[in-house]
Amino acid sequence: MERQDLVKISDFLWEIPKAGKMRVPARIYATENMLADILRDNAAEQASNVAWLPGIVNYSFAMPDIHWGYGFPIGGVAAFDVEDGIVSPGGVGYDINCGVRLLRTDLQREDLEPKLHQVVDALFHNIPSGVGSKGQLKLKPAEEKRVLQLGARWAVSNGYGSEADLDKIEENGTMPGADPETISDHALERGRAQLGTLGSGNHFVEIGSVQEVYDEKIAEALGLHKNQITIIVHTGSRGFGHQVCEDSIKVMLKAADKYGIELPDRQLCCAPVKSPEGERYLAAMACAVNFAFCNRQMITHWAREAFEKALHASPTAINMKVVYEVAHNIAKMETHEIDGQKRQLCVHRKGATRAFGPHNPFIPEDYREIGQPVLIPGDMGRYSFVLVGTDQAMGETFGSTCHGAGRVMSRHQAVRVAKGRSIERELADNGIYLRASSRATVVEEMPEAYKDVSQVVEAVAGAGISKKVVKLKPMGVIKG
Amino acid sequence: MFCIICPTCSAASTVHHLVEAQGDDLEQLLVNWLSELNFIFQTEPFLLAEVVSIQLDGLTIRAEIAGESRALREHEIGTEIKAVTYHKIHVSQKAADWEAQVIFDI
Repeated sequence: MERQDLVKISDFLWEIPKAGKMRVPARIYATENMLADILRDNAAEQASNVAWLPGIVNYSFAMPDIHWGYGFPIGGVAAFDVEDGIVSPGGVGYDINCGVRLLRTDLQREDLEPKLHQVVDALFHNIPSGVGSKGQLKLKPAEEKRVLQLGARWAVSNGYGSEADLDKIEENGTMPGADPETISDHALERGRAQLGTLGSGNHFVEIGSVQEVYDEKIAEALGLHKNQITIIVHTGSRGFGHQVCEDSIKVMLKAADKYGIELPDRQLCCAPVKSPEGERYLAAMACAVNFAFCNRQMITHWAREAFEKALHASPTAINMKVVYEVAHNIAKMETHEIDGQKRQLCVHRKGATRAFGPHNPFIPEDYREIGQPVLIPGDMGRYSFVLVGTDQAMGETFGSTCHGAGRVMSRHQAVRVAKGRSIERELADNGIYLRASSRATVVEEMPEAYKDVSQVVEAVAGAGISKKVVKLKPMGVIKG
Repeated sequence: MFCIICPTCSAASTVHHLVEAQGDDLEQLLVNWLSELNFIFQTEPFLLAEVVSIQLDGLTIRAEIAGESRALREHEIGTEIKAVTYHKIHVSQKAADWEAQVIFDI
């Protein structure tokens, strides 16, 4: 696909017109200078491929952080009518409910700076991370099934955090419809081994501070102010989710044939939402969603412990509270207004975040006036952002927006570029203390390997589908 | 695949596993076979030293593999395989040999 194949709708929105077997056009949110990268890695073509799928509504969307994925692009949003549309594991991703939690504290930057190393070291020791890391729990199968049904609520019931945390999580930390009987023994085994672990790759826990406030009133409503210490937790459903996706793809490959669904790419395999295969996938996906909610709740508890221990401070003094938690690899059943009519849709967000606008009943009561918080992590060297959803997002993108920066270098490229350099020292020179389980991860995750997330944020803000609230600057990071 | 997981590996053949995988076509078979090996790595964990024996019977693989268990601390782990994908997958037989291309999500 070339630049001339795109039709400019606005400075922030481009369309790939309906052609061939596309049922709807594709629409890409991006600024003009982002298009070259987007077109180079074939992500735009993947967005057009998604438009082939039955029951797709309005457009196959791509957010400004779009990049190439398996079948569906990462940074894609596609909604399908529940009556005649499909559900596809590729539209959710292997890491089901990979997501981000933001915590705020009563600490200021200057409170933490003298003790930063101790706190980061405490986090690193308290939170299992890295390839092959095992969780500390020894869950019996019956208890694991309760985790899959209850999600973050299971964690709270078992002493990890408090009830108040649940209000500020998408789905309140428990996705309904989870059926552990749809889960394979392989997935259960991987889940038992890995519940309560951070993982590796681009997953992290990051201590930062509020560097800039763009909207004072909204920031105040979120409990955020300049120089305040914040914590970001980025992880997902670990090997459990990967296995659920793998198991589901096997089923969906057969299902696509069975239901006569023509696919431009095998990895778009799918089944009708209202088919046994579709319903089974959604029930299994919900288990993985809950696994990840539980995982992030447990990690939050350990983060609180680490801070209390390293700072010799009480929980009240630190006052680490959940601002919000979002999922960015998920399929949700949502009601949206399409051409004046309310329709039930299966909204797939893969590397995209829900961004509901003000007054939506599905966001916490505390935030109804301002809109749903959206958490956009950047790379470990630069910054992350907090946004809120808007009415325009509701009207245009099924209440969806971007999720992060997206890679600009392959892992091999990063290894080549980093030769002879100490990424930890470079970060330390910028005031960032990093602890990582693996040298390989540090190199592969170097800041330059990622796009500048501020460009992505400017594009969604410019398009009106999200509103900037604060910028966060990293101070300490733990990685697997 | 295990060279991605552990690039400098020299695992010993102390633990043996019998592994079986099936598929509806050769590509599915390859994905399912590699996924099964990844599952064993993820859950034990297990690093492969050698494939002791392997049989292809129609669209079923039966193999005996050997390696080390619970040895991650002694070996430098490269990166985790999230999944074996179907992207640009290709399997073909050339005389007595097999040639395959597969892309891993890492």
